[in-house]
Amino acid sequence: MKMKTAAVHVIVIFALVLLAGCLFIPDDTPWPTDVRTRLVSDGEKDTGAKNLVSAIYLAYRAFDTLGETIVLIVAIIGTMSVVESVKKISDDPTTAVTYDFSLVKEKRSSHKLRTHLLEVVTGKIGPVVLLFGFYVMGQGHISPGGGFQGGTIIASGIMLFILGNPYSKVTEMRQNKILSTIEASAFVLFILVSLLSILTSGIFFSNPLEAAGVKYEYYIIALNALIGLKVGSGISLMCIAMMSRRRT
Amino acid sequence: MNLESIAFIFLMAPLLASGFLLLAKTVHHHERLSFVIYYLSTISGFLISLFFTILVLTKVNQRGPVSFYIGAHHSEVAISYTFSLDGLIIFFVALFISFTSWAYNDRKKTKQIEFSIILMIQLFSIGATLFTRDLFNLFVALEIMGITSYVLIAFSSKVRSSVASLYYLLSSSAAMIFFLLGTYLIYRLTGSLNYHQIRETLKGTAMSPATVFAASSIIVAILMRSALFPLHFWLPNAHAMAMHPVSAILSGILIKIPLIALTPFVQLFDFSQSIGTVIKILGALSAFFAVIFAFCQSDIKKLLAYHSISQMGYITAAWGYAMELSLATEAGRILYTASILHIIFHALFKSTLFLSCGTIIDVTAQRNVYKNRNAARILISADRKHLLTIIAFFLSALSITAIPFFNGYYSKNLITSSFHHQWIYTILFITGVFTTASFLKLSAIFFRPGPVENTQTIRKEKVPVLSYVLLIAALTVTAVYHSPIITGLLSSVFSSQSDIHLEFYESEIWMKSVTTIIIGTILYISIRSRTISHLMHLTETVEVNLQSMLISVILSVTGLGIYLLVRGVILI
Amino acid sequence: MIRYILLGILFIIGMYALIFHRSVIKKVIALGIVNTSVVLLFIISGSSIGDAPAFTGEQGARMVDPMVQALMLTAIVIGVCITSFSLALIVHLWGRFETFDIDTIEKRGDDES
Repeated sequence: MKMKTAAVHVIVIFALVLLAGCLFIPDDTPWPTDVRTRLVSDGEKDTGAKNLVSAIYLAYRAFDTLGETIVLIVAIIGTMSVVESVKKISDDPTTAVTYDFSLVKEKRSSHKLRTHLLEVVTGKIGPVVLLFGFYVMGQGHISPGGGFQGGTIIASGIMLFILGNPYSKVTEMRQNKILSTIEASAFVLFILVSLLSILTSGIFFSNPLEAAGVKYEYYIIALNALIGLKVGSGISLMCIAMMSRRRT
Repeated sequence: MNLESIAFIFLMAPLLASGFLLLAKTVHHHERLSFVIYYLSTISGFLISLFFTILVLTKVNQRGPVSFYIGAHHSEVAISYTFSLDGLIIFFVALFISFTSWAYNDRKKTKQIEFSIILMIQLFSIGATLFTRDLFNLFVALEIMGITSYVLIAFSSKVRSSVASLYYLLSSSAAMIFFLLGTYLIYRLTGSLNYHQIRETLKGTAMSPATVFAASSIIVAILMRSALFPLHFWLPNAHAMAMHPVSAILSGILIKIPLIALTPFVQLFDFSQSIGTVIKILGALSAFFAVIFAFCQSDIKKLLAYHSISQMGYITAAWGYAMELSLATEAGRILYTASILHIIFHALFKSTLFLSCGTIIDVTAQRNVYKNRNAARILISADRKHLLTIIAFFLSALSITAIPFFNGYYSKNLITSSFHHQWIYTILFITGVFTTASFLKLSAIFFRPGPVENTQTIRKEKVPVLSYVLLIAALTVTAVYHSPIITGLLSSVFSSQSDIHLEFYESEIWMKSVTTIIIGTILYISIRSRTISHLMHLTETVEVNLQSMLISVILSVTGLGIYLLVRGVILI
Repeated sequence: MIRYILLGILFIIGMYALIFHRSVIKKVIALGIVNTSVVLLFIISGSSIGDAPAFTGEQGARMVDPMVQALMLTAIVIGVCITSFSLALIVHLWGRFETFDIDTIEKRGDDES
């Protein structure tokens, strides 16, 4: 038996080394520069974005970005529904285990990690982080950043807010409702914006108001904002679902 | 409006519907409002998508495939899509199967809104996978398809389904790492992700380890989703443990999509014919091994899941042979058409099987083939409308066993007759025998006299009349009009006006069917012998762990790469 | 060259742990490591043609390849989504079995059905 496992290990390591050798070690062909050349000459003219990475993922390859947001939305739905079903199992008091990082005020004294220091600090940092998130989201076309990065910063800002504020079950419910509404409407708007250009200019996924004189830049800003809102609300929903698991 | 702009509407309609469903979920406390949004958005999503699919289908049929870049900037950086006829037909079938499975699930059941959202997103990903001609976009589309299926499998909040989902997730993510590595190599070699430009750059270049391993990692990652022989270990548990409509979609349509997406990819390489040979052999092997496992199963849904692998083996064998002969030849085209035909027919009968067996399992509360007895009486006594369930089951069981005058007969014989005088022909014949035997075993649940039904175990289930009627109609129509479908596929997919002579009722094919049935019956009777049932039990309890699944991915990438390299050296 | 070899080693370590480690959590971490090695591979290769950030301006000719950065942005987000869902599944399994050991989960999962 031991011989067999050893043989398996040897074969797998051999295969892995071979694969790593063939896949990772480059031969002497130089890295292609065609895309860069083209983007340097046309990128800003086409899209109005100084940040060429933004120009690619929101203009040339915006369809990939749509796919990415869809993966995120499916992951959120899946995570929430699985976590929820665990909650139901733990409702049974005999098998229940408390794993909470509870957000409910009454339980807080029992929890070592929720100190007053944490509350004060996070409560003060929260708004600053939130503001920074919106900045990163809105400046994505001319500086490093964009919808996804801004969205995750917004989500952490929301989490800091939640950690640092008096909190009860009622506000949790309300927060969930607001966040999921923002998430759903940002998603619908994102799809509608992508479809709108079919009506106005007959091209799928491009600036719908080009004829009206709106620059492509503003289209990118709008997409960044929608993605940022969607990602921010989605990730904070997921975090809330995971943190507030408790025995009720 | 021009075709370019309307072509995307049928892809985006389900997605928009899923967005509105998400909104419906947020207003779930307004019972009435959420009800209205739920039905309105799902049904209009299906209908709009159906309407535009048919519209694009007729236009593409007249003009040939349309390709274009997404967005206003037509350049090598942008994503290009090609709407070809084979993809459109498969998308049409996917719409049909998704709709029937959606109609099967009851609104009152838990997680129905989530189920519909994911179903709609999955439809979008099916379309994206079929039509994209961009390597990285294919990666994104496959990942959406993957994550929707993991979530769908995990929906039936049983612990076994979570395990199955996790295994599928880990092994398929490991495969997708290789996909990403393959994309890296191709981008490094050609500086492009667009199929057309990759083909232009790669044409005529010498075969290097980099190209070969790029091809093998991407092919293995795609075939993993199609459950080809050494990569199929995730499938039986994942498909058997999911909810019934989910199994119907996954087995019916989802495992076939990656294979169609592979067609344009394989043709990028000069050595596509060697790839075809490997896939042909693996397909035949997977048809053979999976059917033996299927025959030994005692769990109804696991039996069906193994049959999906086996039937996928038929499809991949035909597909691989078509690639080996290349689509430029007449025989290659016929084989490719045969594989598409079997994809369509298998989608219909396998999803019907999963749905009807699901109803039977729900009503009788018994998943075990041997313990489930007298199902026909129980079903009828539960509800008279269950006659539809029984009809649907037998129509599809007769189709999958390739009984003459049912649709499976035509597609299977079109495939097997192409392999005449090859060893694969024998293998497929044995597969047919085992298929007959295992479906005799499954059908026995209806007749085997059992204890008089005690009313406690019978559960009242609403009969999903709409989906059964649709599926029965589709099975009948495809069986009756098989020959116009075949010639239509041939002439429209390849726009070749060759009139091939299709003769399904020659004495030789008749004889083959009759022999298959007879040997299959003998095999079925033989399971009463103690030795054979012991053997079957041993085979059934073979469980493959996660470690072997992951190792099979890595060894497949290595093996395929080395094979192609060695073969390339020999050919030179 | 040394960078690519190190990335290859990172890949081997990740894959090895993904296959042979018994804890499901560590398998997910290993998946993250492998994913990171591939992302780094893209980024490092893309930076072999230049050293300036991907902004338009006078340093255009020395810019790194912006394409790979945009692609990896997508790949990273997808990786995060996969990780989050697999962790949710693991939470589910823990709630039932109270173990992360893959062999135990396998065995007990079979018994349950």
